[in-house]
Amino acid sequence: MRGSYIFHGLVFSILFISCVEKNNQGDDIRIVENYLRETQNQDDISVSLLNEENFQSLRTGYQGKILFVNVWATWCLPCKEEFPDLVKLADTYHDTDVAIIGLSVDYPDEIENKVKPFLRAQNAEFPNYVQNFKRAEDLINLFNRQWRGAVPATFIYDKQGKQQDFLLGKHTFEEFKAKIEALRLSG
Amino acid sequence: MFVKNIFVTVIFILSLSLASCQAENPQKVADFTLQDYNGKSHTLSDVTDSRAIVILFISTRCPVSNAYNERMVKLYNEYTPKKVSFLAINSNKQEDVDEVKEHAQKNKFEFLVLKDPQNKIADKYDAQVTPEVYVVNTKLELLYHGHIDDSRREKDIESHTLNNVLDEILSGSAVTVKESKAFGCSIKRVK
Repeated sequence: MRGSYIFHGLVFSILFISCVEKNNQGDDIRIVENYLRETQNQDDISVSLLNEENFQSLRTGYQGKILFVNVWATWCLPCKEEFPDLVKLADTYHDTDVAIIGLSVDYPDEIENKVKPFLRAQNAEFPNYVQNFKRAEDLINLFNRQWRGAVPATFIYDKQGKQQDFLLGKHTFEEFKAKIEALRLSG
Repeated sequence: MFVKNIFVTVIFILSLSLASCQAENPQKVADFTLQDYNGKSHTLSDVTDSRAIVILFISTRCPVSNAYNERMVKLYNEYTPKKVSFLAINSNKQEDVDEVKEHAQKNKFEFLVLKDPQNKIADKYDAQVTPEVYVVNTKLELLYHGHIDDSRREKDIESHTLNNVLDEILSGSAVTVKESKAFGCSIKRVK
């Protein structure tokens, strides 16, 4: 009888300890998950402001590479539909002679609540900017005087920094890639 | 030296005459006939009793165009009594007549809203974006082409460009800003 009490006591203790450990383990996992979520939210997406002063450095900074700039906005449905193809394009040309850049024409005060959440949801790791021009028209004309400001719009520059393509509206990965490859072939 | 001076003078005179010629011959826009959402036809050149005609390319779904719905109504209410005519054109392929009608009624548009099937008029005008404005006179001479104002956010507007253009026309002055641009949605065209 006494042996039976000791046996049940032992079983109960083992179950209790394993249960506590399991709960602690659950807490630990939650803490790690929360930490990862928080640090990811802080660090995974970086967005820079593009203004009159640093527009030229955007161009010169990528000289020697084919520069592909897609202008988009979170309020623009075709831009959002096109975006997965841009992510695929950026993956395809990662660490090559082609630089893929995004430029959002949302307002700078929409970076945290609109631009970054969108980029995060798209797993967009390529460089992205948000316009911070005093006059939208100035930015539009810097890209191309034929452009009236409709988005999405894409501008492709050759390795010498000369604009070779201006694509208005939504396009596909294949269409973008064909334009880039044509430029690559022409040197 | 003498020959060079004559050459420069001739070029200068030619440039001046070309500039004055352009000023005397403003760009004309194409006439068109389109149906409103009730199926009634309207021709631009039939608008004869107006001091200016405002042609607005709009969209039912574009958030930027929709941000201007109230502003367009306000402009219509302010300038119609001053003999300015307003008509809107929807050229987007995916926005059908029923949708255009519902949108116009919901937003209390009292101005004409015309459907541009196959975006033929958008092509003729080279309209790219919504909202995009053309102001013409009854001779169909282009007086202004561009945005309504310079911000989709009403609180951030710095230039009420269309108001200024219409005020200048009504006062008989020359239009100072003839062209402007702003970000907006691309017009979805048939391929």
